[in-house]
Amino acid sequence: MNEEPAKPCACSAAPKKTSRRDFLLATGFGLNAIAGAMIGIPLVGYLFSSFFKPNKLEKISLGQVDAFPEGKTRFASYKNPMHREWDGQTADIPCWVRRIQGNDFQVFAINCTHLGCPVRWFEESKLFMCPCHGGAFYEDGGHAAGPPPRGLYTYEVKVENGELFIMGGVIPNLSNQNV
Amino acid sequence: MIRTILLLVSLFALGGCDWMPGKPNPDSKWREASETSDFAILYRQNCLGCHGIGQVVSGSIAMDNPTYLSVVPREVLLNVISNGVPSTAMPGFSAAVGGTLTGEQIEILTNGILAKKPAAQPSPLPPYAADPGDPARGATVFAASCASCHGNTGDGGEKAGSVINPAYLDLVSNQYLRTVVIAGRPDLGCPDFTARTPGKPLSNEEVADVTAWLISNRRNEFGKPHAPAQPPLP
Amino acid sequence: MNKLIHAARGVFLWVDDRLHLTKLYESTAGHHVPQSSGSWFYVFGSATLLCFMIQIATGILLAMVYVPSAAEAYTTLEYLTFHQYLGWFLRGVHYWGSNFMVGIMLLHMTQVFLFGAYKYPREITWITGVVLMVLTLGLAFTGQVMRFDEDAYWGLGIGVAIMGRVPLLGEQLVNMMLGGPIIASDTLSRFFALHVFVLPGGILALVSIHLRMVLTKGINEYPQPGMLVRRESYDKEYAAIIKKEGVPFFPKAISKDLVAAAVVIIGILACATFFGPKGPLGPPNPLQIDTLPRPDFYFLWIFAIAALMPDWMESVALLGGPVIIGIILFALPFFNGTGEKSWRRRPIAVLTVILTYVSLGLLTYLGHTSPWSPDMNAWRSAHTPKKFLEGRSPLELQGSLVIQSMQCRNCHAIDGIGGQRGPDLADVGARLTKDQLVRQVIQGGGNMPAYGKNLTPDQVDAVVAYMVSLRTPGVAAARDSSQPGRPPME
Repeated sequence: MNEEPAKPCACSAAPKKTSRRDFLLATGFGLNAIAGAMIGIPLVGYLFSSFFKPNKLEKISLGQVDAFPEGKTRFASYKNPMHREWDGQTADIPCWVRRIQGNDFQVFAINCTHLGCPVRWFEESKLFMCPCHGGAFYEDGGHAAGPPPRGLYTYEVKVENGELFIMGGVIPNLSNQNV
Repeated sequence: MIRTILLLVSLFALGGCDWMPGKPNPDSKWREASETSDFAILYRQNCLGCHGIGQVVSGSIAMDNPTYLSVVPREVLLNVISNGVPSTAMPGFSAAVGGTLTGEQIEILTNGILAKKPAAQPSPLPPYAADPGDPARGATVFAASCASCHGNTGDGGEKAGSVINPAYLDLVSNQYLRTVVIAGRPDLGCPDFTARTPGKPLSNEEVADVTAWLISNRRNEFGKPHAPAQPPLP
Repeated sequence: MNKLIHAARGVFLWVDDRLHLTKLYESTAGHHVPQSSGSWFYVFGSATLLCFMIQIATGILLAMVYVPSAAEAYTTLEYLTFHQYLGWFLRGVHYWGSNFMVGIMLLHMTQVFLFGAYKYPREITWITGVVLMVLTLGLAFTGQVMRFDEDAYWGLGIGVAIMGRVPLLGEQLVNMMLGGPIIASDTLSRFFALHVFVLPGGILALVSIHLRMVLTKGINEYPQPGMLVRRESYDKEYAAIIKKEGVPFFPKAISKDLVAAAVVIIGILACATFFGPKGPLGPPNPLQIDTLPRPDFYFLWIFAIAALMPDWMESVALLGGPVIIGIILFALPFFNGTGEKSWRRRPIAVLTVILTYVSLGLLTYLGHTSPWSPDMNAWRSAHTPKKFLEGRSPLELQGSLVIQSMQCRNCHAIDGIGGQRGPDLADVGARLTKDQLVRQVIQGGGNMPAYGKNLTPDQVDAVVAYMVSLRTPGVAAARDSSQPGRPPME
């Protein structure tokens, strides 16, 4: 843009003035570098805050144990422990609860291990099927067919005083498998 | 001509296109599956795979089989759709047993099926459910009424396959056997109880007897007679 | 009269003197371009920019009603679509505008590639173009999330699953993408910020560089076979072309761009008017799992790749693929910066384009039909044609019921009715022997689950007996070649 040839500066001969100008320029740059860091660091920190905050699982109740018949797998849901008022329907997180017998439970995440689509349980064939790319899983969550790289993600389960709890609060994916 | 085109274009440009074909119809709004209340759609989505209707034939009894509709009590139909029939291919559809239909939808299905019940019903109409009769007499009834298609021993004839195959008998309930004896499979060529011997419908006893004979043919894996515990009839 | 003209001229000269309008014109719209560039092949760039302008205009209007909150976005979408006066039309224009933008951008890129316009000295024009493509696809993906329905929700789930495959940083990237550990309101808010501020801002910035390059380095002359680009002499040759046949872009070379612009606008409007906007589908309710997540048109090919790839190379391809494609695109003007420009003498370039389009087209078609997806409701809704039930024994009929109730039909069609994932069962009896069928049902394999634990021996008997009977009348059942004497149905 500024293609005009630099005008010969009359003042260039006087070294004293030059050094003052240079000092001012250096101060200008320096001050702005400091100010830039002062605004930049918080902004970057805000954006990347999740990098420094480890995911924390919370104990979530899925209701009374007796609500789940033995030997069956049932649909259940819980509220995202970190949900906010304006989350709307997305605060509800579904899962599949398999009561093997007594207090012996398996709770599976809804997300297919392939690309996260919601798997559906079929009682008759005792299979979970995924509508996206045809992944299928057995009753115990094991990989049965299709592209998924592993079996269904399972939640850690606790039964206390006849109530079923899971440790949840993170959407499961291959880099966060212990949901 | 040019004036008309200009007029149309300016109308279009002024936003008069709120009526155009691309405008979404409020009817096309997404609705919960549980809001479906049309019998035909519900039937097509949930029943048609196994139970034919109209022109469609399926593996199990058609839900417009007139004889079946004449004998089946409403509460039985409602209960079977809701809870299924254990250890057969019929699953339950109510939410309580893990199905996807609401109580109202099951009512709609039940009512819609029974609406096809014929006005004129065959008589004497055997009851839908009854205790099995005497297997020995049942064998005679079978020889007289069924053997012409299913073979003298029941293990298959020229027109129809075996009805005493142990795997078959294990996959169906006693009530299913009785229901097929009464209602037949007219969609696949098997007549109902009135038409097996023309002019002489099977009597109540004969129906019970031939059902008992079919049940008595159940065999376990060692070829010994057995009767698997059947769920109590609803 | 003369006085009046004189006065007007004076006013104009004054305005021009203050605002430098003539200079501005000379250095921008009036810059000299080779006459040969006034070609129909050179209209795609301006048409893409035009689409972007339409997106900005309609986007601003939509943002006046749309509420980017997980709780309310869907309601406002429904309001826009069904109640707001002409809301459906604006949504339609925005939706079709995005389709046109992606499509025309691809045409532009193809033309630039085939005409060698990325070669010396226009490397930076090409590179900014590649970045613009990435930003445009980013707009397309984030825009799909703006239509916050079930597809958006599960599309985000797919994004999570892909991000989660990144080694080491996967967890952090997922959290950053979602604004938390789970898809929630923060997710929509940050996609809104991306879609409305960051990406359009980036596009505006890059477009200005892109256009500045057009002004400084000139528009590519229509390539002639045999005219080779040499770093030493090209600049002089181009200057000669401009001197000899250069015309001001406006008004001498713009006419075809103008016609194309009108065609594009009318095309977008017509699509919006006659086909309307897309969706919204069901609400973004995670509990509503009776859903069939599908990406929008432009990402269907990725959806197809994810289904068709062997799983051992999936993570590598999903993560490495974009990197490799990016490197190739960035490096292209440097390893192929000189030489022949005309596509007539560049068979490899032509083949690359054909191959790319054919693969993209096929993959998109496959993604659209997605035969690998089970039909989740086929087991209770897909009936069996009568000819496959007539004359069957009671056991075989029970077998047909087992096939229904065991959800086999979700993946297996019979005579085209039902899921398409597995082979059609209409002729399975002629292909597999009874023993093979028993083994396949019990052990599964070849992408079929093993049913051994879930079927009783009686059910296996019934289902196999039925499948043996599934073949065209008159065709014999499959025989075991190792035991030629053995009858098929033993």
